Amino acid sequence: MKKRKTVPILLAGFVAAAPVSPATAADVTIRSETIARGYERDSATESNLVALPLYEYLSVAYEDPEGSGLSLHAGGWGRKNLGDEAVFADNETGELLYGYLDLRRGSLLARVGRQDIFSGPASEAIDGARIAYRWRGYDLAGFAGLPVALEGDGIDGDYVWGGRMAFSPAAEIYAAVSYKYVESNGHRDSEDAAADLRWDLPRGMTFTGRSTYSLKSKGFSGHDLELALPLQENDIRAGFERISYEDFFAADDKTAAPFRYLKDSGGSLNIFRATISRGSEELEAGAALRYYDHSDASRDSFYGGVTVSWHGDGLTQTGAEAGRMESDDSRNSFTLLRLFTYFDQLETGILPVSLSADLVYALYDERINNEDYSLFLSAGAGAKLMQEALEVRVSIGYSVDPYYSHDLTSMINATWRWQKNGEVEE
Amino acid sequence: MKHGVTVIIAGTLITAAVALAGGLPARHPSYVELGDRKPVCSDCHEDEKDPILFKRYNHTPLFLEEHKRLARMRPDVCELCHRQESCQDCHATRTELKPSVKRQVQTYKRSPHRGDYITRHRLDARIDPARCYRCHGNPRRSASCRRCH
Ligand code: HEC
Ligand code: HEC
Ligand code: HEC
Ligand code: HEC
Ligand code: HEC
Repeated sequence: MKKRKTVPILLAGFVAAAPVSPATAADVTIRSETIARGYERDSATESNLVALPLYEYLSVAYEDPEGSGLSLHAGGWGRKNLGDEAVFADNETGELLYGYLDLRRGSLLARVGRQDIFSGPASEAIDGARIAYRWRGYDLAGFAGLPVALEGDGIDGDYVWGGRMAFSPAAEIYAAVSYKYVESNGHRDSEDAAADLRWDLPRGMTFTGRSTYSLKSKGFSGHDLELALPLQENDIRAGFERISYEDFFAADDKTAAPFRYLKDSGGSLNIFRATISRGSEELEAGAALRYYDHSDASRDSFYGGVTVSWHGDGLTQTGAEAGRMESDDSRNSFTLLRLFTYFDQLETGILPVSLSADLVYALYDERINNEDYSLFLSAGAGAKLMQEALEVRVSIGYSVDPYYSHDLTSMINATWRWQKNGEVEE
Repeated sequence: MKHGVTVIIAGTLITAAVALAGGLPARHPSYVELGDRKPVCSDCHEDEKDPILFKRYNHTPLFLEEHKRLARMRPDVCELCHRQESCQDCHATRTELKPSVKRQVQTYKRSPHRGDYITRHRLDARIDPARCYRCHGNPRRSASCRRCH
């Protein structure tokens, strides 16, 4: 089967077919983020190699202002290293991350091109099509295409398809069944079905549940249950998650190396969690507790963490996060602390400047490469120029850790945004 | 398609009855200046339940850990405001920069993998590898792991 070439051609066809309205009526957004970084690295054979990567992240969107419901979105990244090439060896140097044509007509959504699918058991980028339709109280969605992430391994004939059907048998219940099939290398790579449910209970409480079943290994790969209860300003949640390694992970050459052995380990993990959070104009706070009950008891762990942040004008914020992972295997126990601040648009007399600083400190119970901590510091500044169309940020990062005894990085980041006929929207 | 799935789908088609709440607009009105701060929907929409239960979509302080459940169930709500672009900083693993580096200056944004994650990742990964698998599970989404694994 000849693949890969079909989708760009398809897409090009759609682009060509898209109505070309007079430029004055077009609603176009272009966003370009250029990032230059500088640091030193050692390779297997040489030391103090200089890395000077220049990244470009570009995205464009076109929305037909005539209200036809048609829009076009594309984004990608690329890198050019101006320093020693050995640092990046044979890493990829860029990619189209997404590029799709969207059509909305009433309760129909059709999307063709490279896109991310987050639906039921699916969480992947495909080159293909997705159609969603609301029909007599059912939310129906289906997708099919070539899985982007499996591409490039020199094997043709991979494809993925799936769908989801949601319905509401009563006003307080929203339920769905979904399905995903992945073909790779001429055989079934994975086949999963999932069911999820949201149930609005009295007192503003909500129950959410989700179970995923692997039709390939014939077992439940996971369950995820959550009860959310709002209490005045507080958002309280209690949850349970279960993962069965044999059914969740795959163990073939399409699986990244560090996960390959997990399937056969036959392990399982139960996570019990409770969180509370509250937000107001001035203060945001949250706390989380998690207990990890592993089938291999030496990995049982307990995590507790808190986060607090104070808000000032605009995006001005100062915050702290602290967490402690206490594991039966002391290799996995650590304490984490983060302090950060951000001053938005400080008046300097010439132009408003934003300043930021960050500190991340991790203390490990067992030494790693003979060190027991990592410390990361960063400081940055940003300013908006050209009527806010351009934002320039500079920052430096400094790390003392088990891998890099002293690592200094610098970065310049220029974000340029161009809009035609539209307000800025997220 | 597989037998079991057909049965499930047919079964649910039969049991389902009542219509869903009304449809959503394609876009959140753009005259509403939401800025770069995470929105608390109920600040503006209060206790309204139609067309959606607005409160449920409040971007709470722990939204980073919570958004996945909402994203899987109601992607149409997310698309009121987010284009795919807004998810790329963290979900595009096929790029080189981790989110906290790309947005190093924007310290007010919560980002995964803050600080020295090369050392810390093994601790997280041994405890809950499933969390990593969705984003890094196959070779192309884990290009940056290859030099060590
Ligand atoms: C700053 C105020 C503000 C915030 C915050 C806000 N909205 Fe809105 N929203 C509006 C306004 C104003 C409208 C247009 C008037 C209306 O339809 O209620 C609107 C309209 C909507 C609509 C269309 C309503 C309809 O009946 O068609 C939806 C859906 C919606 N918002 C969802 C959300 C969600 C979800 C969030 C949180 C993630 C949110 N909004 C946060 C102000 C806000
Ligand atoms: C009413 C508009 C609105 C809706 C609806 C909405 N969001 Fe957001 N969301 C925002 C804004 C504004 C921000 C803050 C700016 C930013 O970081 O992008 C934000 C931030 C986020 C962030 C944190 C981003 C970061 O970079 O730190 C995540 C994750 C997110 N949204 C996911 C979702 C998901 C998933 C949904 C659907 C369930 C959703 N949002 C629905 C407006 C919205
Ligand atoms: C600030 C970083 C960040 C942004 C921006 C972000 N996510 Fe996520 N997302 C995460 C993290 C971290 C997880 C893993 C959370 C966990 O398992 O605890 C995750 C998990 C998910 C998951 C479940 C895992 C999977 O791959 O199936 C979905 C679905 C998801 N996000 C959807 C979205 C969507 C849709 C957007 C854009 C609107 C978005 N996210 C934006 C960080 C982000
Ligand atoms: C929401 C998606 C998401 C999740 C979930 C996630 N990562 Fe990542 N991770 C990324 C992105 C994006 C990058 C940067 C791009 C890259 O390296 O591919 C990254 C980079 C990394 C790096 C390289 C960091 C560096 O300093 O270069 C490591 C190591 C890593 N992740 C490990 C993990 C582990 C372990 C987990 C599970 C505990 C995990 N990740 C979960 C998205 C994710
Ligand atoms: C700088 C080298 C390095 C990089 C890059 C790296 N890792 Fe690791 N990783 C390690 C080391 C060392 C260990 C600990 C191995 C052990 O436990 O013996 C580890 C452990 C792990 C484990 C736990 C294995 C176990 O014992 O259960 C996982 C999962 C993992 N890494 C995933 C990733 C992912 C995903 C990435 C890329 C996003 C990545 N790693 C990048 C060095 C690295």
